Amino acid sequence: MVDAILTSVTEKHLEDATTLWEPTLRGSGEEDEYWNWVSKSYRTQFLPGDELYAIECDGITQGLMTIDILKKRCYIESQLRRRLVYIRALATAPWNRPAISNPPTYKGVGGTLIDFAIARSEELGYQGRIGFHALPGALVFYRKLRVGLLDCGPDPEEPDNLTYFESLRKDR
Amino acid sequence: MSNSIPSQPQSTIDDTTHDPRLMELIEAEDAANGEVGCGRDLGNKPSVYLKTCGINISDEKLRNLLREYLGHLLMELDFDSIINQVSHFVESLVVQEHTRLEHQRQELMLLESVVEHIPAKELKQCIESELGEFCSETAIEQIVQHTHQVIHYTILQPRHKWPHPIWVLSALEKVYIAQASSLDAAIAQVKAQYPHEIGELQVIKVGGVLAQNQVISLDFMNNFK
Repeated sequence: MVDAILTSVTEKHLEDATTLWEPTLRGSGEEDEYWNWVSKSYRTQFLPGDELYAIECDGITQGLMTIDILKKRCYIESQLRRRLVYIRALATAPWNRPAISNPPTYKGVGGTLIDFAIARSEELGYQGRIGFHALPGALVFYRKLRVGLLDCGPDPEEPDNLTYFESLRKDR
Repeated sequence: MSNSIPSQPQSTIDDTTHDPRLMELIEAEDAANGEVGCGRDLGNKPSVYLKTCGINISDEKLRNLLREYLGHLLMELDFDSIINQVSHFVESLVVQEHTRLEHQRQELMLLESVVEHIPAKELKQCIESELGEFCSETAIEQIVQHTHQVIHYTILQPRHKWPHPIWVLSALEKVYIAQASSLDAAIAQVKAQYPHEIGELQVIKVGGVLAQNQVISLDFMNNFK
């Protein structure tokens, strides 16, 4: 086990994504092959409620996540329209994926970011509720995470029909 | 050999076996072969999309218009759905406008009955005030028509009138399917109708949350392990 820092994104993290992640991802066929984290960061500056976080270890960016803490609401009927933390995008560094680098350099990066999103939701008074659209390759990961996530099936309102997950919480 | 990121940054624990949560995360990650991503797939025009994704209608402006003209028919969750769909449409349209690529445009029906519910002129003004700078007159017209269409479907099947969701629950040896407003109500139904079922019920999936008549698919390999 190693120590890591989870922090708001800085220029350094975006530079890592551009100079270290993107060249490795190009041509890899990974689902986030064309993601551009600099542009995602640009968007967070203009959209109220958007936040961007990074996990850093060994001075290198190991994972990135952008969340929306204001604009999205719950879909599940028993908690309909309650506030949640919506994960707009989450990805680990290419070298942490067995498909690109086997064995991966670090494991647990994605799960740690999810745990952080839940903690952020708790902090905001949203009772740990989170929601997101999972990439097809990651469905098994989210189904196996024991954080009360409900698989709501493919979302017809989402252009790519990605599967929507939302955490179910009882009122406290 | 791989290292692991602790769930609590700066932890001093030096052995993963001492952190069951971290072990859970790694187990889930291994099951997906390290694939953990979530978010939009940006298709084949990602760079343009990312340049233009900030260009869209404002949630509040359209919502106010919907409230003013359709507040007696629909509820906020219906407005959420309409705004989501219109936003996605605007995103795709702005990308198309930007690249000026030839594409086959969808046939959008002009639904006269819908125009009665929300004046086209005001809707157009609302959209034009925010997107006029980025979109041609044709594109604005398309957005207006698409919005009318989305509103029309929503009025026909308002979200707040959908039937209760379908819950798929698993016990030790059986799978139960119940229609109820909440998970607790679904579990109560199962317990009432199958009193011999004393095992813990776990929810596998919920259907009918995102769309009416949604088909629920279960993966034998992953849902029942």
